[in-house]
Amino acid sequence: MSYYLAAGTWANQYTDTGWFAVALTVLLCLFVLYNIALSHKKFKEGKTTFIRRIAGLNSIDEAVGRATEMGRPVLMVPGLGGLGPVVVQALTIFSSITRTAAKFANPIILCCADAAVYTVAQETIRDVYQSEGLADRYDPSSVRFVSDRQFAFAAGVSGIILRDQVAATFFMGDFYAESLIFAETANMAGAIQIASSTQTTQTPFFIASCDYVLIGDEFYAASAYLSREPTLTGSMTGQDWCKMMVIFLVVLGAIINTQEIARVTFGPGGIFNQHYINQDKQHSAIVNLPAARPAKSSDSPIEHLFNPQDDPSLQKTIVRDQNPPDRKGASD
Amino acid sequence: MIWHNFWTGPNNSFLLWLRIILAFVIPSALFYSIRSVSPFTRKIIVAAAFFFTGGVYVFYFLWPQPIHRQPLDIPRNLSESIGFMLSDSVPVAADVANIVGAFLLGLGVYSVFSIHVDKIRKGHRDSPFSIALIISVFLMLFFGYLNYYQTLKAPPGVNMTLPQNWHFAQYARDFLFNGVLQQMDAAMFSLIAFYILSAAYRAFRIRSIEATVLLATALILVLKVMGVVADPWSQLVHGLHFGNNQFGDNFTFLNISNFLQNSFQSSSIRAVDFGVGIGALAMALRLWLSIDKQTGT
Amino acid sequence: MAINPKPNRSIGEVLQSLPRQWLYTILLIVSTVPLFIQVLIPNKPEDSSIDFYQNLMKIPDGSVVLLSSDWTNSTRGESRGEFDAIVKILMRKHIKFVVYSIADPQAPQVARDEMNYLNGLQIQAHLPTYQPWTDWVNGGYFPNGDGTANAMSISLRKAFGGKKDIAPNGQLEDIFLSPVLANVQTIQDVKALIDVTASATATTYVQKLGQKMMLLFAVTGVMGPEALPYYSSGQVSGVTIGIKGVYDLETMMQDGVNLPDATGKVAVSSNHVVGSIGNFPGMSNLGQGSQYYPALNASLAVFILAIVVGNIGMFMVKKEKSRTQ
Repeated sequence: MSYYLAAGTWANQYTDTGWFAVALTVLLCLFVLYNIALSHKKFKEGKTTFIRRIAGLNSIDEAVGRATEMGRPVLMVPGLGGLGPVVVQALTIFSSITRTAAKFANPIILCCADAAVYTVAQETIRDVYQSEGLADRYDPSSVRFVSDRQFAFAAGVSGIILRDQVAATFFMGDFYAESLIFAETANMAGAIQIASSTQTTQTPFFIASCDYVLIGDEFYAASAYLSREPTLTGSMTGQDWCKMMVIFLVVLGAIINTQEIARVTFGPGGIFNQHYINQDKQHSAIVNLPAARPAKSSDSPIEHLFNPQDDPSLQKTIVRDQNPPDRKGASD
Repeated sequence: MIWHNFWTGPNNSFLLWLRIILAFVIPSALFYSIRSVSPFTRKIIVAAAFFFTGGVYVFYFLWPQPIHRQPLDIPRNLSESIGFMLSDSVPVAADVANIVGAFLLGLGVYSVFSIHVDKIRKGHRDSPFSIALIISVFLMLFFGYLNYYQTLKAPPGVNMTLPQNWHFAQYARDFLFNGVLQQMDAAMFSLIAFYILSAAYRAFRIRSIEATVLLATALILVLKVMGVVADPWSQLVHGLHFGNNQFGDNFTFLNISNFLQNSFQSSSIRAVDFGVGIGALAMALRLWLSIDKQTGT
Repeated sequence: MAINPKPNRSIGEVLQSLPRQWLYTILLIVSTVPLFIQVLIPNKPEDSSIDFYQNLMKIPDGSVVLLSSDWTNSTRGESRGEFDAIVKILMRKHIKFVVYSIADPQAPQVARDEMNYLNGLQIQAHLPTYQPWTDWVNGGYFPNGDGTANAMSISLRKAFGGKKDIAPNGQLEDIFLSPVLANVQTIQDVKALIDVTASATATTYVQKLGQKMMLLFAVTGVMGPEALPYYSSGQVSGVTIGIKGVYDLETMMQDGVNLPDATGKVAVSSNHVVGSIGNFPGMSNLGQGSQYYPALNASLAVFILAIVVGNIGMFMVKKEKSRTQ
């Protein structure tokens, strides 16, 4: 079968799949990459990036020092999630904590709820001890896979907190309902607690029970904060640029949508005339409607920018092209 | 059934088994050959593999998607054929991730066993718990697989998942799963209610204006859920009129809560989610391009 | 031997530092007693629950839906009631469904056990049971939730390809051979995705399937704030939250919305709905929601009281300190 490129088809396909969202994502990525490059340039020139004070991260050394004085271990939990950006970030922070604990010869316990995270955590912690020249202080059983069941994990970690009487706990990553079990149990054991959850619904529980909490984006800024490595600080600046872009789009979208909704909802004789449309875009083709209909909010320009221009609630029927006569069998 | 994929074949055929063996041998050989090269070369190979596999998803995101694709559709042009190929690869990648995830569980089981067998061997003071854990694991494995085996080998027309067809293995599995495991899960979850009470009692103090506002809004949201309070209050405010409007209805706990949730809570959660999402995007980008510098390495 | 006398604590200090054990005992008693007393508390359903019910009732009889059962017995206090109410509605409308999970490997078995329980209730009420394979199938567990949701948006057949369930002949067969999925080719042939969840699977479905199909979420109380932004932006068609959400569903199943009864009285009225929404008269509609709602009210009252007592203690201590200074 020979392929041919129908004129305008590629463009039609793209404009119907929410091209703006794709372009925006690419722009956000470019912001991050540009700032990473800029940060490296500034680093070579001897300049540093200012990062505001984050209390939870400043107190890591204090927490580990306290645990060392009391002769009790430090507990770290990277959450329940599988191997992904959140857990990698958590392990980055934990490797910094482990470096401090290793220097003080303080035992650590790292409890994992996912087998893949367990293998990566083992490697990470072992690398930290080796890079510090303290390989003899590394205890392989300090990194443990407890359980992948949420509450079995909660029970196991709570038991470790109470039996080993940990003095400092770090809960960072994806936490769900078990967050409060950990936090309250550690509170009962008298441990100093630093926590962060990417789940916004669990942050209030941590705030109520823990000494320091990293909220939302502070979790992702932590690695840059602790290491001041140019890639990480540049990435953090790029993220700030992305947030400014999002703020701009929110304001712009609010203005445009307000105008559109006013046109749609205010009836004849009101402040704005009701907006009717005579044409509609159905499956990449502009179709004339048999009769003008009131515009919905899904007909607004900002909605079209982000979403495919095909509103299922308008009950359109699908007209299929005839299949070419030389088509082969079904794909599955 | 027409098969067009090199790695598939007719059921139980020699070719299929050969391909399965090849699928084991080739990656194993690759794995051992990667281990034998220098760490620098290994790093480059891993970064390249990472870039390629991540790049498939990036390319899939950027390329225009086929619109309303039906199972019997074929591509009409180059753009659509690339789009079809990319979208066909995603379910395969999802299947691979599902299988790898299942195998990785074995690693976790190994960790559990190694720690607890070690505790038992050394006569650790908590070794009775370790013994209980290992016995539980084997019991669950035994009755779980026996149940599955009996389900497969059941007489024709007998559905072993229905309670009326159960034998001892099914009852034992049900006792261990529903009678023990699920109840312990529920018990652990119910602890949260008590912990919430102690945390709330200890932490929620009106020490500042912000804390006062927080507590006031929290009180309204809680009272909305309490029908014994919300309903009498609704009836009380329902009597307030402003012209022909039921002006008082604006002051029911439900309406005030909706206003608080839609105006303040949702927008705040969205703001935090934007930050977290952008952070995850940046992190994923650094991982994909292998430029993430971890403090541990 | 000199014994240091225990310093006398003021009332404020006592109120601020009540022993945990007292608080836990009070909560235990207060939350348990209402379970033994049948009390029907008046209820006004929330808008998100009304939309959930309305959209569920709008699904044509005999359609197929996906039921993502991402809960286990740890959250059965809320999720079980939601699951029961939703499945009762699906049964009564003869809507076929595929139950599966992307969150927990235990969840498919929990769903199967719950279906056996609901069929038991059907037998007690002399109603036809919902047959596995014919009326519903179990799609099993998918460890990679993100990838699976992505695959579903592209090709439902490929995403669920290879999944087997027990056919009437007692053997494991491909679920696409069942009457439930025989005519389902793409995601558009499925009328809705209903997610009963205690975790963040709702976010996954919004990202991957939000533009392809109607989404209805039944979440726990804690996950409610996370799901509500998607509801208020229109990406999700309805959300029912926690025990209150269960009770809302049961109330609407019993009384409808804006529906006058035989005496002309409207039990549940709402300006959020244009017209009325039907109910299921003469059927067993009340369940876990009505059982647990009084206990929820009592527990929340204890929480409020504990916070008030703690703050009174704090103010009393502050006042004493300012008096002594």
